[in-house]
Amino acid sequence: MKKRIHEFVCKTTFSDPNKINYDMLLFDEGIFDSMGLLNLISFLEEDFGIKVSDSELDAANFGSIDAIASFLERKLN
Amino acid sequence: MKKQILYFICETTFSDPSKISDSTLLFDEGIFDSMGLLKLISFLEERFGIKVDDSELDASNFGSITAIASFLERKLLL
Amino acid sequence: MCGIAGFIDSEKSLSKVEGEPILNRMMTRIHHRGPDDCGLYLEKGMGMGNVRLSIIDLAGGDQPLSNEDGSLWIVYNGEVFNYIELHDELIKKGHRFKTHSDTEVILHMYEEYGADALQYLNGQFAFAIWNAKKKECFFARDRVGIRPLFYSIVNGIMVFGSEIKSIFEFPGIKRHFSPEALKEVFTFWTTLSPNTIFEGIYELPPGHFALYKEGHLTINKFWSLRYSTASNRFDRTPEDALDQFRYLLSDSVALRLRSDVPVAAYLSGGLDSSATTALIKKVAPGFLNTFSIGFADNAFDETKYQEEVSQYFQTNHKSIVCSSSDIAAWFPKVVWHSEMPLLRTSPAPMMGLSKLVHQNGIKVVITGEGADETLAGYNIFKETLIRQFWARQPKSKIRPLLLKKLYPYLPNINQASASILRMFFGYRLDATDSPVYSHLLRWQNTSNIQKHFTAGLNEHLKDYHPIEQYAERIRPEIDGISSLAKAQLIETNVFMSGYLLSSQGDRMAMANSVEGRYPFLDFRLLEFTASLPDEFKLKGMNEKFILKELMKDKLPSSVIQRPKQAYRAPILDAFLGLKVPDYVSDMLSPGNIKECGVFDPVSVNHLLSKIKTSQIPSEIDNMALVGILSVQLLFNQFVLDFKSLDKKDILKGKIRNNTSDILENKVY
Repeated sequence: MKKRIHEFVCKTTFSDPNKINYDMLLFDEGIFDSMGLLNLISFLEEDFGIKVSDSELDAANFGSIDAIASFLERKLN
Repeated sequence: MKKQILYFICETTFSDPSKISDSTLLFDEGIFDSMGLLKLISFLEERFGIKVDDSELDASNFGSITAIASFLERKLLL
Repeated sequence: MCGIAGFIDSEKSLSKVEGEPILNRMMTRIHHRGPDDCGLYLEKGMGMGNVRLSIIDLAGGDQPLSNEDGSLWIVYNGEVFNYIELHDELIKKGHRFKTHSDTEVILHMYEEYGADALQYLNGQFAFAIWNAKKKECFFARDRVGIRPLFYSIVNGIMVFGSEIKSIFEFPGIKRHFSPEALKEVFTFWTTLSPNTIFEGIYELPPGHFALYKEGHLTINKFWSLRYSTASNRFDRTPEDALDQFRYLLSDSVALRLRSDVPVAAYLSGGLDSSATTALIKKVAPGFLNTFSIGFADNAFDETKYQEEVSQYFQTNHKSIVCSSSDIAAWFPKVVWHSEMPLLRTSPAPMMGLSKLVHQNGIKVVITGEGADETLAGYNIFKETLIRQFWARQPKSKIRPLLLKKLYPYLPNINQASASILRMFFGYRLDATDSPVYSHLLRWQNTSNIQKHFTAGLNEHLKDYHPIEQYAERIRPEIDGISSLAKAQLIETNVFMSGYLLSSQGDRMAMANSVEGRYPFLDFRLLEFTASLPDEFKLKGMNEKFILKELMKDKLPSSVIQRPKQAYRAPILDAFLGLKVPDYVSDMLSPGNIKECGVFDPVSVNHLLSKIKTSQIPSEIDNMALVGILSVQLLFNQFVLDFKSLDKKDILKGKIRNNTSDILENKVY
């Protein structure tokens, strides 16, 4: 799961996979802008079939690949 | 009440009263733009002494004259 | 570049003697497209002509032009930029040429390959080839409709021309508005191909060819843009994409510099025309003339950026300042040339610009149109992705807030809460399955202008649903392509071909005998960008990403980084301010409105009162005003009256198919 998320992040932001760590702060470091977040959430909703509500939209869940993976796991269970 | 609302809407948007029914969708049909909406809210607040909360600003309360009238009635009953 | 026109009467009722004056008048109507020469082809029952703007082979390329044995004759408006390579191939196959023009190359390509020739042509064109032996006429129009071609078939006679005004010169052609076309304009900002605003007058759609034989016209498509699906998407690295993009765009510019007269460039101050200028300078370092428009109204002006780019590239820069009163003064002529109702005044400054170019002795300009459609530059693309995202959680208070990012310059939007955004941007939010989802909001907003139509017109149109019809029409084309690509397809076909390249592009440039050339519309580049994944075009909020990457160190950073400025021109001051020209009140008078019969005078009056008393009139009301005014002007210019030509202006074209000329038959 983390690999798929990592792949998505790198592909859509043209980032060097070696430079994006799983604990890197994606928004603080400017890897994603607001439309980037939109694309990320769309990807998770479409590819994993989850639904993300307003209250779940925060840094704790989306700040890094680790965070996203944990969030995803909780949603899928 | 519906008549007052209709009258106000037609006056400020220069619309023909005979073309706006109680159920006309005011936003979809472009009767209102954002300025018009603000004027309507001011009108309701001043004329009827109510307060409109941000959260109450949606199509179910303002989408048509019927909707506005219902919303107004509920507010006045409080 | 040129203008063409003609008629084909299968019954052969028109003699050469009768046909010649008609043809001369048809050519005179489009004289502005070709001031350098007028040539005719005439036989019993058929005539066609060309007014020429000489750009390639100034001495030799006069039209109409024939092949070696005089069986094929061409009238041609356009430039096929790879004509040199095609010429060399044809020589190897045994063809002989008498000129150095691209015109002759097209003719021989057709001779060799028939309709398949079109696949090889890289350029912008509209032409007719008459087969004098078979008595059939072949027509073709370039892939995205850069050059125009209109026709009408009446009483078995086919009449065609680069502009509708030349067709109206032919006897018996009726001049009425089409009600369906009116509804289309006040929905899509243009009519839907092949419709024009006039009943019975059609256009040959972009990317199509036609054959007229024995009174029948058959039309076929030769090209359409295919956006990639998951199975055929570009799958190499971003670096490879950038290399390919660099190669194609540079080659596209290089090809478009082929000319026997100087080529200049438009500089809007934005990324696209700065990029084309940068590439011109790379391919052809040295002297370059650039031109731009400034606005007296600061809200629209981009002069600072234009000057910055011009200085960066050391170009010989000239600009005009366009004021509201200029726009008002030019507008009737703008409408006369565009032959379509307009919802914006943006074409007007473009005509002022081409006039400046012409006054400076320049015939050809390179310009940046096409980049916004092909590289996802417009806001509508981001807007549709946001709406789609929001549609998955329609009650969300956070998702709609993304819309604020798109319109930082609109104060009402920036203060708006999610609920208000829902009311103005939430129209059919859940219709994500619609092929035209991306454009539903814009078209619904524009359609609201139809409330100003007369009751009778709306009644007549009540069963015509152009949006649904168009959605079904494109359904097969959008299978498997991304949401962004869908929006691009619609914007390219409807907005770009139907309005931008015509009303704002070809018509405005040609009004002053100037030919525009569009590197971003090279078909190889169109196909390449359509194959790219979304993020190469729209990376998050960063639009036209691959172009910005290409231009990263080649332009002032201010140009790359500045937010997209929509090209707009003033409206209100022009038409409702002080010192407005008389024609405005005449056109908007209840009497004139009633006579035209499209709009309801009472409704128009209400609109005018509303606009006059409003601090900030809405965009739609502005568009309604311009739309109504332009319809009234069209009515007066074309329908109510169609002023006869002044005898002294009528051209006397040289007939080029005299037998003696053919026998002479010089070859190189």
